[in-house]
Amino acid sequence: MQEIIRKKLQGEPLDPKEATQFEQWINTKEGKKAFELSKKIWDRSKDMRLTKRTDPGLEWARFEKKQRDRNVRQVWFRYVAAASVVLLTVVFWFAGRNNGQIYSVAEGQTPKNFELSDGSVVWLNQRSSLEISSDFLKQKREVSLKGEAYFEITHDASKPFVVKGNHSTVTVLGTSFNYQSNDHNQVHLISGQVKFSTGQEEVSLSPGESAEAVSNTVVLNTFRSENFLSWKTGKLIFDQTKVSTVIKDLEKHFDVAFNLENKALNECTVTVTFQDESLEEVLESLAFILGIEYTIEKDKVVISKGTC
Amino acid sequence: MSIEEGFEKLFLEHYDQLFQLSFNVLRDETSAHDVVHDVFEHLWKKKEEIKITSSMQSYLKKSIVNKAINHLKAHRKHISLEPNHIKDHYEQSPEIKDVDEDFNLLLESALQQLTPTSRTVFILSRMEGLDNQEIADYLGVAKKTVENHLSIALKNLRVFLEAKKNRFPHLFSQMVWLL
Repeated sequence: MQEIIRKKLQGEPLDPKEATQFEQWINTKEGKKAFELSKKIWDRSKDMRLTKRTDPGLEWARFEKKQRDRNVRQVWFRYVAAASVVLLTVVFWFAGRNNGQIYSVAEGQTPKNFELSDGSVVWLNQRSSLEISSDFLKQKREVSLKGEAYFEITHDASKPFVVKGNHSTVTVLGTSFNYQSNDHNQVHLISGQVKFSTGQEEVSLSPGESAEAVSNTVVLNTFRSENFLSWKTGKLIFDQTKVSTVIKDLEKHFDVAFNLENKALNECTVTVTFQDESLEEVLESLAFILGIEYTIEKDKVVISKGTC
Repeated sequence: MSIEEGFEKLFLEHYDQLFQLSFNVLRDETSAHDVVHDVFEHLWKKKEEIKITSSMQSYLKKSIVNKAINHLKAHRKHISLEPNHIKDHYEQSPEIKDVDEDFNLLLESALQQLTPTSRTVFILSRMEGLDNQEIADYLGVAKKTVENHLSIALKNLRVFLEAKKNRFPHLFSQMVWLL
């Protein structure tokens, strides 16, 4: 029948058999309703073309710059390969200038990223600070973290990279990981290898594992979702994820507390991806998916109603 | 004219039109720009070989549509624009009653539930006004496949809206009244 509806709406002729079928169907209450709704969708969608003004000149400038940067980067890499000795000298010279430097991101600011003198890259979340030790690169690479940061560490086996948190320490060879050192002391390892230590206990992590310091002992876990990085990537991915987990991730991402009035909702699952969306936008989507109602009061979100 | 100048001219001439196509399929401004840039970037890499012919425009449009479908596949179930913001971008702003505007919003949400190909076929057919054969050429599939996608899209949109009927009865009161 759906093929006949399409033909009807696109104005294609029906063969006699189809015509009879359609006649019978349209004369039922169900059929009449379904066809009316199909026609309304068909007619209305014609006027749903979107349009927005663009500035091709500006886009060209963006495009050209990107291509130019890419070329420069390629040339630069070739140069580095040929002159790595020179580069090393420069890095040491820079390290000398970097004494006791502190990077910080205040509450409510957007996360910042920067490159350390050894080429490692750090993304620092809001309400966080990173102190580079004054003898960074001399014997080892040591930094102290308050808050949360994501690290991509340049490999250098002779100088381990050490991140000190408030109750734990992460020791790195060459790797990328997310380290949280505030009310939680937790590390998520993306690639490579790190050691996580509380002073009492030390574990080695493999990629896909996370470790948390709980009163001086280490709790090891595995993770599949990369939502813990949402503060850096702006991305939250839920794939048949329980609402209880969704809420935990949203609480961390938006720095708010949720109050779920309908506890049964915790067991529902949600599949949706958010990219750089505001709390209101996210809640609107969830309201649509789960039929919930919500109110936002300062840093508290109250959720009511809703079903799977 | 150098190759770069020729490329710039091509870019400036086609950007707006390609963006509108991409925006319509993806219904998200940032993604729409990204897809257009991607298509030109691909072209830039082989700019020495480009011959500008009359089929350039259809080649570019084809690339946009296919890149857009891939984008939708990669961001499956991505809620693109909040439906409420979409209405600011309608090309036509028909003077419709509030109740009916809500019907459009529901239809926008329903579109996002379709599979990437069905959704794209439906949008190209209804909003871009292409006929079934043209869509088949864009996607490189048989005309029959396009017709199947259209039938399925239409059916799924209807099923989705019927399911919402209980939750938003006021939107449908007018129609029930009609029957």
